[in-house]
Amino acid sequence: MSSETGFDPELYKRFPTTEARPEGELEQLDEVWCGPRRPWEWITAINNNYIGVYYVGAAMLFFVLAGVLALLMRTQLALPMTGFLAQETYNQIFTMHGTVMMFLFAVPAVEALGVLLLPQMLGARDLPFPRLSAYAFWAYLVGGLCFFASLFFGLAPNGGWFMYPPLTSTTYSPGINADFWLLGIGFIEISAIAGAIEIIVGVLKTRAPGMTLDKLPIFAWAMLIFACMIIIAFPSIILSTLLLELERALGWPFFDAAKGGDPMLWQHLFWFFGHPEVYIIFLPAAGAMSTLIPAVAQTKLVGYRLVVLAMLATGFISFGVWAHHMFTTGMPQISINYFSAASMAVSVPAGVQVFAWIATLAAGKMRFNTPGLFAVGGLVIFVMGGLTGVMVAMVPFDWQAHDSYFIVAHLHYVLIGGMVFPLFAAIYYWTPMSSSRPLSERWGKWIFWLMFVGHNVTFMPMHLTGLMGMPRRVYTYLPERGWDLPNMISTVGSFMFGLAVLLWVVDMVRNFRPFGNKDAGNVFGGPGLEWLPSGRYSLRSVPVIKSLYPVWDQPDLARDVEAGRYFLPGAPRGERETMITSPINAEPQYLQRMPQPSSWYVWGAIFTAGFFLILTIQAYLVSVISGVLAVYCILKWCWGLDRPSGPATVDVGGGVRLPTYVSGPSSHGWWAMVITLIVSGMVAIMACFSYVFLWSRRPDLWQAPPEIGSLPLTLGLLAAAGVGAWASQGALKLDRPRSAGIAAVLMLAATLAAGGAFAAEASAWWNSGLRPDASSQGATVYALLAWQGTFVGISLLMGPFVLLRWLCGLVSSRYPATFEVVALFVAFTAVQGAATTLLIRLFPGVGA
Amino acid sequence: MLDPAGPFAGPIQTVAWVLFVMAAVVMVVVLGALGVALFGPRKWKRRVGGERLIWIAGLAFPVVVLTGLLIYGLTTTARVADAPKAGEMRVRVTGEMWWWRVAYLDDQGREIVQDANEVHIPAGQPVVFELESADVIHSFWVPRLGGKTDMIPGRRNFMRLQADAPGTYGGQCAEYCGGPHALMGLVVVAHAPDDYSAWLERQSRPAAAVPSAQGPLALIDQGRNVFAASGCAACHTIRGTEANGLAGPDLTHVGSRQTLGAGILPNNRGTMAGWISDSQSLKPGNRMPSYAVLSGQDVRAVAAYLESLK
Amino acid sequence: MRFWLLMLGGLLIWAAHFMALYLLSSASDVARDDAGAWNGAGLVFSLICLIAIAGLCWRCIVWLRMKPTDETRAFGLRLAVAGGLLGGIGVVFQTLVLLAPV
Repeated sequence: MSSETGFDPELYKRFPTTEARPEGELEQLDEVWCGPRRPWEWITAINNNYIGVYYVGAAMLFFVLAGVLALLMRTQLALPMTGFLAQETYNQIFTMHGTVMMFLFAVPAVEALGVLLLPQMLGARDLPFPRLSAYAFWAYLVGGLCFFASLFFGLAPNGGWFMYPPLTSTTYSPGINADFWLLGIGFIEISAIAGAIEIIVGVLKTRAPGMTLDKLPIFAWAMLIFACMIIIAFPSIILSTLLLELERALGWPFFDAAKGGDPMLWQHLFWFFGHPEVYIIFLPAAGAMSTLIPAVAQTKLVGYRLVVLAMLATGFISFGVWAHHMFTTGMPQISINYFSAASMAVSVPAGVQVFAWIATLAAGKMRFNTPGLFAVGGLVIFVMGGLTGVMVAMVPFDWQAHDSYFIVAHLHYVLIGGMVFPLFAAIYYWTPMSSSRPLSERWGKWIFWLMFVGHNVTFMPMHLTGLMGMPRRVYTYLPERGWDLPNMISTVGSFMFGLAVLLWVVDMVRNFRPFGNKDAGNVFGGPGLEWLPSGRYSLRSVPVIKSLYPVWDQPDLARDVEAGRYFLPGAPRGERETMITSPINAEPQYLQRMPQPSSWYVWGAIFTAGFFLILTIQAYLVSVISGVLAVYCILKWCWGLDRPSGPATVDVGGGVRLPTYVSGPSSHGWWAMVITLIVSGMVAIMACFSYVFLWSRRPDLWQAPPEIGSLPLTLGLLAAAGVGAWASQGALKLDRPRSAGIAAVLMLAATLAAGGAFAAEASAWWNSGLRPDASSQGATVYALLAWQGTFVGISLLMGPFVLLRWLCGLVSSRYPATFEVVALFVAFTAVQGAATTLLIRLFPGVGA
Repeated sequence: MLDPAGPFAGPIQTVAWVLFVMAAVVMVVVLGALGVALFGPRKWKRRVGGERLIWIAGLAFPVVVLTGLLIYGLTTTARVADAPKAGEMRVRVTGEMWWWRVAYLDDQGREIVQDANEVHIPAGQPVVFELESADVIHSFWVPRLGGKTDMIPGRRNFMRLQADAPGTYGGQCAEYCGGPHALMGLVVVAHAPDDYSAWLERQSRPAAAVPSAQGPLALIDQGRNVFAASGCAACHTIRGTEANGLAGPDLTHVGSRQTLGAGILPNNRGTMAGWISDSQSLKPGNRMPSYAVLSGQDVRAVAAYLESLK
Repeated sequence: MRFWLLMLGGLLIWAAHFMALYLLSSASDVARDDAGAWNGAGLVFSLICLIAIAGLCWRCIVWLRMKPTDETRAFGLRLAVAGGLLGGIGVVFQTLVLLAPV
């Protein structure tokens, strides 16, 4: 195997080691990774074994809550013209059902699975940024619960889960209901992206040595692709929620046709996110299926390569199908046809995965345990949903089926078959890893059959009602259209489904016992590393991986790992640590020092959620205070970063020495910043798209940009900012006597230059007479400026931060990580500023 | 959709049947393979338990089927979505919250007749619908005649529909527009071509003058007075009278419509009276207030008057 | 980086093809020209993409035939070929649209 980093693969031959491990090594490891002892430590816990369970629990709570909403809806629709729910109540309930399911249950649930399972599966001790996961979780929980509570005040959003304007503009939705949705979704976006950064860096940089890409567990592949899709797709909804809120709060006309906006812009932005979103939800569940079906059939996955490729292809092609939600909007026919073609293409990889699962079941011997039942049941339901998906990918058929109950049927078949059933399979399969007791197999089989039959009884008739002409999102319907009986049947089915979920909740209460010292063991005979004996520190020692199915193929592995005969048998620095390895070949690169719990990220999460929610109820002063406190907490958290101490290299086992501090493109912090900047860049790109799109709709509204003479100043200052940032971190690494001071001052100067550029540009536009609420040009220009301004603002926090670190003696040439990461951010800000400035100044040309 | 009545719906039903058969075939294949995988004899399982199944059933077979379907879909789309041709009759329908403003256009695109909630077309020929919105996004959908097309503020969309035979065809708004979206129904009535010209001519006439009268006509006369005195003209138009409000449906020939409230109630004196006195109960949230202030006698009179506007 | 680009090559070409066709059709819609010239450009680009995919697949097959000892590299090459195939199917589907009557 050729080396990626220069690591000598001969070193692997030293493992498993044979000498006895030192006294107390295991005890020290256990102590360093101890669990919560005092009550508040349950809240500040950052170990993925805790956060993962909390996360799955919260997601399932929202599943149950949104499910109750569904039962209310079905009760209302059981008979025509019932008065069980008032019209407005129903409209809020159906909006919340969709929103909670999609944003508060589906994405968090699969992300939670990743948080819980990935480190164990990859042989890492924890995720690379544990405090970030904690922050993401608490923001999600606090924000999500407050958002759900809006129902009890009659303030829940009522525009449907995709909230099309102009219905959701202030004209037609004057209350704060829509704002709840917009701002509420905001912090969920933050937590999804934080999770995605975690997962990308975790899957690519924290694997057990020897776990090359061709031996990467299929679930890890799924999570990697999932996370990359989030990075590309979520920025679109971040932008669209920001734009709609700007329109509602300040009157900037992005979607208001009277001033040049276009409701279609929302649809493009939303569905560019919205369609990948459903594949984001599906892929981890598919990865879970590909993992537990081999365990259930006790044979290796057939077609591993093809399944990996299928998931990659799904990830890519799902970005090309968004406008199949817009076939009826009167878009040009050729565009519509492209999306139809891509929508047909995207079903091919799904088919590949389904047949890989069937082939695996055939190659082995299926045991009809609960995970197996849920997996097979999910497969059947998912295929049915996929087939109706191909049907609606055909444009003429969609012109009838769109916005009818046929679509409701389709989406529930693919989501329930493709995600919910696999999720339940995963829960039954992996509970023994986290709990001292597995769930009841006897109850599980009842729950499965109730859920399977209940699902089909609920949603099969909806295909018919849709074809008979029943539209979606109707709080009632007229009698004698033939819709009565199918609706009644659907309602009966929904209560069967609800009963199944209720039984599952009861079984969880009866049997789920997490956080204990003992887990129930490898009840289903799975092959992955997560089934090795483990503790809160995950594995006692990190093995050298030689196969995709370590527990099956390396029989002495459990014994050797537990005896500490591999990498990192203890805590060499007496702290929490894990190994960072290279992306392709998983060659050890350095030892990552990991944090102990504290409280800054919890408070930061609470204040972040508070900022968004209090903003919604328009208590502006309180909200600003909350925001400032959130920023303070995050800065305190950052202040504690990058504090190297102790030896430069450490023995990680077998005499192999690894550095304890690495900066630059191999380091996890650098990766996290780059990924964050990709997210930001995507938002900027979508904003630029919005600018061009609205121009193409109303070129007559575009007025001339400011005088070209003022452009060089802006670009010059931006160039200075970019160069200054880059020079700053370069200066630091020169290691001259005054390097640290020069670097700090250069960085501060760079951020000030960026600030100056922004001020110059913003005033140039203001002086040109353009106003943001006057036209779509104004709205998009000032939106781009505001986005840039946010980055400039953050840079202006970073400049003094870096200076303060220097003044406190925390800056050294040997430890340039903070400077590199800040330089990336400031340089990006400069590039983003230049690109967006050039666009709004030069396109479509002076005096269009 | 299951009972098409014109050439813009028929091909879609055929597509639906083709797709349904395709789906059934694929389901049989998948369930068959699954059945073999779970329960089959060892020899069969071995056939199914390898990568070859994935390549053939998971890749080759779907690609072939999908390619065929795509070509079929593209050609059918072209058939049912032809661009409007010169000389075809044009109707402009504007979606409002929660009713339909209808205007019949002449060759130059000028509105010659205004109406509401019921669209009348000649049978046996394609009719071009110009679809707009006055407020939020709505969607015009008459399943037996064709697919749906959205009505988006700031845009004008075109759709062609044709009813092969005279008759009444129902529809409903198909894009959630808030409030009583569930009760925004639609009626399309197709006439034989000769009957159609007669109908259009009748519609273009203003409301017949109501003579001051005794006897049974007295109620209608009283109704006309109540109508004028109650501010109804602020929102409604009755051509030939002073009522020229534009916020609500045109009532010039409301008596001749089959339904009230945008397709949700049969049109008779009782439902008309009910609508006037308490439309908020019948269609909560709609833009017309309930006229509970009117006495029963007045309501009956207005109902009689409006019913007389045929 | 090269490893990733190779492995994802087919799918990246699909993405470029999709974006280009979408941009071309949007530009043609805005310019309100006769669509013929724009569609022609689209067809030419489609051909270029198909050739690129074919080239990528051929190169990877050649490298695979050399029986590389590095399993990870072989894995990447096999994925590249399969990715080229799937990407190619997507490109063909989208090209069919250009050839369809509108």
